[in-house]
Amino acid sequence: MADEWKDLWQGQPPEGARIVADVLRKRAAEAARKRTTERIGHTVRVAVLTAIAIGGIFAVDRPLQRILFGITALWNLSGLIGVWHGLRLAGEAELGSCVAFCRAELQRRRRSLGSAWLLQAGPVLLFIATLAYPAIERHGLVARMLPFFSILALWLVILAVQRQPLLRAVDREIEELKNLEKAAGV
Amino acid sequence: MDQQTHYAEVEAEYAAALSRLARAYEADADKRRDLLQEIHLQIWRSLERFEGQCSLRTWIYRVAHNVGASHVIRERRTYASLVTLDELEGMASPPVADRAAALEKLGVLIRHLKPIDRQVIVMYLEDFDAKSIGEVVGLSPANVAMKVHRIKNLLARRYWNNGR
Repeated sequence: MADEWKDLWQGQPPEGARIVADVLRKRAAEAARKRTTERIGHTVRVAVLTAIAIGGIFAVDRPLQRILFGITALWNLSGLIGVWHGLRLAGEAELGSCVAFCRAELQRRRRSLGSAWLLQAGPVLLFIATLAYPAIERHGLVARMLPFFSILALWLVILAVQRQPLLRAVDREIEELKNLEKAAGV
Repeated sequence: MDQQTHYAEVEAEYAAALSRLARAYEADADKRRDLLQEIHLQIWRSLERFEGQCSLRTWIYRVAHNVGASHVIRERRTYASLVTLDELEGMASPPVADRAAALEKLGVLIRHLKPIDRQVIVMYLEDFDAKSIGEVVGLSPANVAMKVHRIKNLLARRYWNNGR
């Protein structure tokens, strides 16, 4: 019975045209170029925002604004970690087992669900808020903008709560894979 | 042997198996073509670093399944609905007698599984022994044996009675 299933599976006609080595070589070079360009692009964006934030520390007089610019610069720099320690391609992971690769992929997904958006969007929002802060204070807008900030805070809380079940499910999967690795003596 | 020679061997020996493997990870024909190209591309890239650390077969199946798993994990909504072999055993499904329908059903069944169980069933169907499956997937021999036992039961009892 089991062999019949094997025959059935292996008897499927192959799909897709033959892929020649030259085409693969070109595609590999294109993929590497694209990846490098993306990384450089992101690094430049981070560097520009960090430079402006550092410049802001020296350009403004208000201590609070200086502190906020400093936090923006540090927060922004931490986003670089995600870029340089990001996705590991399957072709680079051949030495690890499939269980180890799946665990690493799920951990990456957990990071992106948990904190990656904070590392990318957070510094930009803080930078804008720091720039706008003197004008808001000068015109007494803080009280008037309170409802907006309250809604924004509520939205962030809802977003965080919504992600919790997803994060828990990914955590469970990661734990299961770790147990499989332990059982295999890894 | 260099990358080029290894790849020629992959093409000659494993092209059909890789095509079947892509079917286990993607139902849509267009997406499957892209996935198959990606599998070949990643195998090609990896062969640059292949120095006989394991057999070529183990190496390419690891890379191919990793590409497949990555593809599945990125499809977040689909991934959330995947099940384990244990869970699948509890789901009702009438047997089918027709060969084409059985193959279609087998494809659906495989694509319904989480990546690790999917890898085990595909390699079992490709006639790998438990030791080789463990080597590629990274499971203990006992774990592989248990999963293979479940797969055999599942296939024998629930999915194809072959007119009997």
